[in-house]
Formats: sequence, C-alpha cells, structure tokens
Amino acid sequence: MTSSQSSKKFIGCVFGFILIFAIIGIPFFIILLKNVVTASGWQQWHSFFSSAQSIFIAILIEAFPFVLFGSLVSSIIHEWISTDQLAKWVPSNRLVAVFSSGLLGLLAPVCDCGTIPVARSLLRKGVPKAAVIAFTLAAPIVNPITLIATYFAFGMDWKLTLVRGLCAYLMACIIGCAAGGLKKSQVTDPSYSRAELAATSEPGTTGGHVHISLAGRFSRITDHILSELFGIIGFLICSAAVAAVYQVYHAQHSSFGQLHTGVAAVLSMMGLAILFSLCSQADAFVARSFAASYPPGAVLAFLVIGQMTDLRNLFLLPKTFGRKLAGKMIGLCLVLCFCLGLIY
Amino acid sequence: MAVDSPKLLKGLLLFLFTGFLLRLQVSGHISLLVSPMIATIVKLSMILLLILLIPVFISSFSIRTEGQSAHQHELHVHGQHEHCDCGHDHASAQLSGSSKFSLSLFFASLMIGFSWQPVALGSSMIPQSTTGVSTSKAVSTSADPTSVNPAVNANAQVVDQPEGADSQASIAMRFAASPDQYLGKQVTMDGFVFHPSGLPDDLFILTRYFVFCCIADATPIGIAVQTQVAQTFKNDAWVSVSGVIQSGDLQILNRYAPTAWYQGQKSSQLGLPELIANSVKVIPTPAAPYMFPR
Repeated sequence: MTSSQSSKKFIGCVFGFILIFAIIGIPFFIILLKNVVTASGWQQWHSFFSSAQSIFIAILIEAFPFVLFGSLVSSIIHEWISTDQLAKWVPSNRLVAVFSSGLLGLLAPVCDCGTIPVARSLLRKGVPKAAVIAFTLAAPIVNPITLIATYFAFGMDWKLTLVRGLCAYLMACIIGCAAGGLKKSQVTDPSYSRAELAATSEPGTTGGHVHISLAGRFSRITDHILSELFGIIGFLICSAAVAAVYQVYHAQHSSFGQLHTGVAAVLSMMGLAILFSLCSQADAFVARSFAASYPPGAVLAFLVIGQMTDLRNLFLLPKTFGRKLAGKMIGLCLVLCFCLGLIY
Repeated sequence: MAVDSPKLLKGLLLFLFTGFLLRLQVSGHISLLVSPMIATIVKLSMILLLILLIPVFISSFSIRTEGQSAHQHELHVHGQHEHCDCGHDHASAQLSGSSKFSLSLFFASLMIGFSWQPVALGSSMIPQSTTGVSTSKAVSTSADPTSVNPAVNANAQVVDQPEGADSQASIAMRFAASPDQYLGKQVTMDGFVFHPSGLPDDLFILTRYFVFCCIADATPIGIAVQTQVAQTFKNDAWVSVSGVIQSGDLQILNRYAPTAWYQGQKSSQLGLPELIANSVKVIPTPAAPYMFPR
C-alpha cells in the first residue's frame, strides 16, 4: 500500500464518519428546532436533554474502564493461554464445570460490561458453552462487591442479599445447562475443540512453529484489545443512549408512592431493570428506592434480571453466543425471573 | 512506509477520549458524573489506554511488525482480509461496515461529551408523588411540631454536637436502627430545595442525590425541613439548614421519594426524621453536589 493510497483511505474514512454522524445528528436537530419555536416547551426540553446528556456521558465513562479491562483480560487469554491449558482447568464433568464457573464471579468482581469480552475469548478457546453462559449470567451478581452493596442498600439485610446471590447463581446454572446443553457432542469434545482450533488463528498453539517475540505479542495484544473494544463500544453507546433517555423520561413521568401488586408489578420492575441497564454494583440502591411502591418479589426480580438481560446484554449476548442461543438464554432468563418474582 | 489508517483512526479517537477524560479529571467535573471510586478506576484506565496507544500509533505508521505480519499471514491463509474467527475485524485489517458504524457512534459520543455543560442533577429527576393535593389538607395539621409523638419528645435531648459527617444518607441508613441517637440532635445539613406537590406549606425537602457508581443510579435522599419561610426558597436552590432532628409524620413523608428512603419506614411506631430549622441560608451549588459511599 503506498502512502498516497492510504492517506486517501484515511480521508475517505473521515468523510464516512462525518456522513454517518450527520445522519444520526439531523433528527436530533429537527426535534430541537421544533421545540425552539414553542418557547414554553424549550425549558422542559432543555432540562430533559441536559439531564439525559449527563447520564449518557456518566454511563459511558463508568462502563469504559470495565470494558477496557475486560478486553485486556480477554486478549491475554487469547494470546497466552492455550486451549489445552484451559481444557485442563475446566472440570471434565460438565455439571461440575457449569456450577463452578458460575462461582468465578467471586474471584473476579466484574460488571456485565467486563464479563462479555472474557466470555468471548473463553468461547473461542473451546470452554463448554454451558459453563460460559453460567459465568456470564452469574458473575455480575455473584461477586463480593455487588453483594456487599445489596447488603448496605437494603439496611443490612442478609436475607435479601443471600436470596439475590443464590437465585442468580442457580438461575445462571440452570440456564447454562438448559441453553448450552450438557450433551457430549456439543462441547469440550476433543474433536470439537480441535475443529474449532483449526479454524482459529491461535498464536503459539496452532502452528507451534510460529515463534513470536514479546514485542510482537504485545503488538498483537494491543491489536486485539482495539478490535475487542470497538466491537463492543457501539453497542455500549446505543444502550447508554437508550438507558439515559429512558431514565429521564421515567423520572419525569412516573409516579411515586402508587402501590403496585401482582403480575403487573413484577413485569414492570423487570422492564425497568432492562431499560435502566444499571451497573451491578449500583442497582441495589435504585432497587431500594422502589421498595416503597413495589412488593419484595418484584424488587428481587429487578435485582436479578437487570444483570442478566439488560439493554447492554440484549445487544451483546447475540454477538457473543449467536442469535439462536442468545434468544434461548434471554427467553429462559425472563421466564425464570418472572416466576421467581411471583413466588418470592 | 504505509499508514494503517483504520488503526490510526481508532487510535486517534481513543486519544481524543483520553483527552476528554483528562479534561474531566483536571476540571473536577468528573465528580458531577461518577463516584470517587469510579473516578479512580477511570484514572487507571486512562493510564492503561495511554500505554496501549503508544504501540498502536507506532505500528500504524511503521511497516509491519513481526507479530502483525504473522497475523496478516494467517488471515491471508484463510482467504479473508477482514475477519479471522474472532467475530470482529482486526485493527490492522480494512474497516468493515459495522466497525465504521461503531467508530462513528464513538465519534458522535465524543462530540456529545465535549459539548456537555457541567450541571448537577436537580429536582426534575425526582419522581413525582401521585397522592398529592387531595390528601394534603387532612394531614397538614399533624405536621405541626406540637403533635409530634410525645414519647419522642420525652426522649429528645439536645445533643449539641454538630458533626460534619452527618448527612441525609447516613441518617437514612441508620435512623431506624437507632433513632435515639438522632432525635433531638442539632445538625447542619446542605442540600437543594425540593417542593413536591401536596407537601404542607411550612415544609420543604432538603434533598441530595446519593450516587454509588455513576449518576445513572442517583437516588434522591432528603430530610423534611420545617420552617415558616419554606416557600421563599425555590426548587433546586442550594441551602444550608441548621436545626434539630425531630420525628416527622410518617403518612406525609412516606409519599415522597427522597423521604421514603429511610429504613424502617413501614413501622408505624417510628416517624420519619424531620428537621426543625433554626436557620436556613442560601449557599452556592457545591463543587461536589452528590453524596458518595465512603
């Protein structure tokens, strides 16, 4: 590639962005202009947008480090840990593998933004899907920081904290087994992982003969982090935008103190949890503020579903596990969580 | 020398983003967005990002490094320029459509970030009460300080030890566990004024947001303030109130999001804390308007 060609490409890319940015930006400007005309609505829209803008930036800033660290861990797994090594660590009994990987969150306190990149690299390394699903769904809740936050938010209430952790853990394992499958043919079958391997451009393991220097490895890791980061960030931005706009809308249009009960209460709390897309370490505090108007079952449903299928995960699970499997997972999460909310 | 333009672009965008984070950290406006705990994590991520960006910039300008050439070779072997198995395109390859989309979204978010005017969340983010005006008359008399539970009054000793550590959040967390520790205590608290509809005229709610991670989880926590001049303060005005904590009316205060937060709110024996104001002073909006966990 000559430098003139590449600079042309660079300019092309820049123009591409500006074009797409304009396409995204124009509807916003139209909405804004319309509201400038009606001066009374202006104040309201202004406060709506400035609040939504602040929340959007806050979500992005908060999630970014976790995505970055997640990508780093994922890239290190990708570069340094071979499939064979990983296969040694994963228990051969599928059920044990699922139940133990559900507990991994206790060791690695990460939010759902951090688990996705790690899950992607684990999947690529041939770790059983069932186990990866259990890890992805359980880790954000079954982790010390989240549980301590829940404990404090609900006024030192061990019961709810334990119920939350246990229910999330069991649900994740059940969904892992049900959606990921425990049949031998599907996962860690050596032939399967070898087949996967053959299709994988795995450094240091596939060829074995390809020797890569440390500098080369470092450069590959940075490349991998970049790709991982930009593979996720688009979805993160979309979910942050929807969550921010909805949060402001909800604050301005919801009513406090109205008592909700039964099926509707559980469903609406689940819907809110999905739309709010809160960080696992923080959602207990928001849930606590709903405790006055919703029954405990609905609050528990909020605490459990919010970390399994929030907006972010609705975007990212299909990207990680494939549409079919992600659909199964999300469906099971919703049904199980709904039942949990009604029973509790 | 060849320029790997997609990689360079990604690097530049991340560099801009780091610049944005740095601006927030230096100006201190980051405290309007995330808690100190997250701000520290953001700092760490900035350092990591800068370390990562060095090889990104170097390798996007230089002719292929060893590692890259190996990778490129593998990609060529599989007959794909854009994708290996990873499910995403690699930085050193051509930009795919979805990658362009995510890059432009990132660029748009950066623009949104740079155009952000640092403002603190105000009372517009507090959910409104449903049961407002219709019941306010019936309960307004019980908000009178003379009708406060006599048992509470008997217990009340004015412990004149104003502590800076006392905030709406710390009282909200501990009030139910040890009300005796708080009732009758002299305190000074800051917050913004919130007048929900239906609240008696001599009350306002001195509110602050409690932020655990970022302002997306901001929870309004307030204490009712009783003063004859309650109506002279507008919504969102920041004030500093000195007064004595008394037991307020559970029925009224439980209807509003900031005051319903107090633990043990459902017990009928115990009222919710209320501040009988000695003085209310208007103060400028503090640099760190939110309460954070310690």
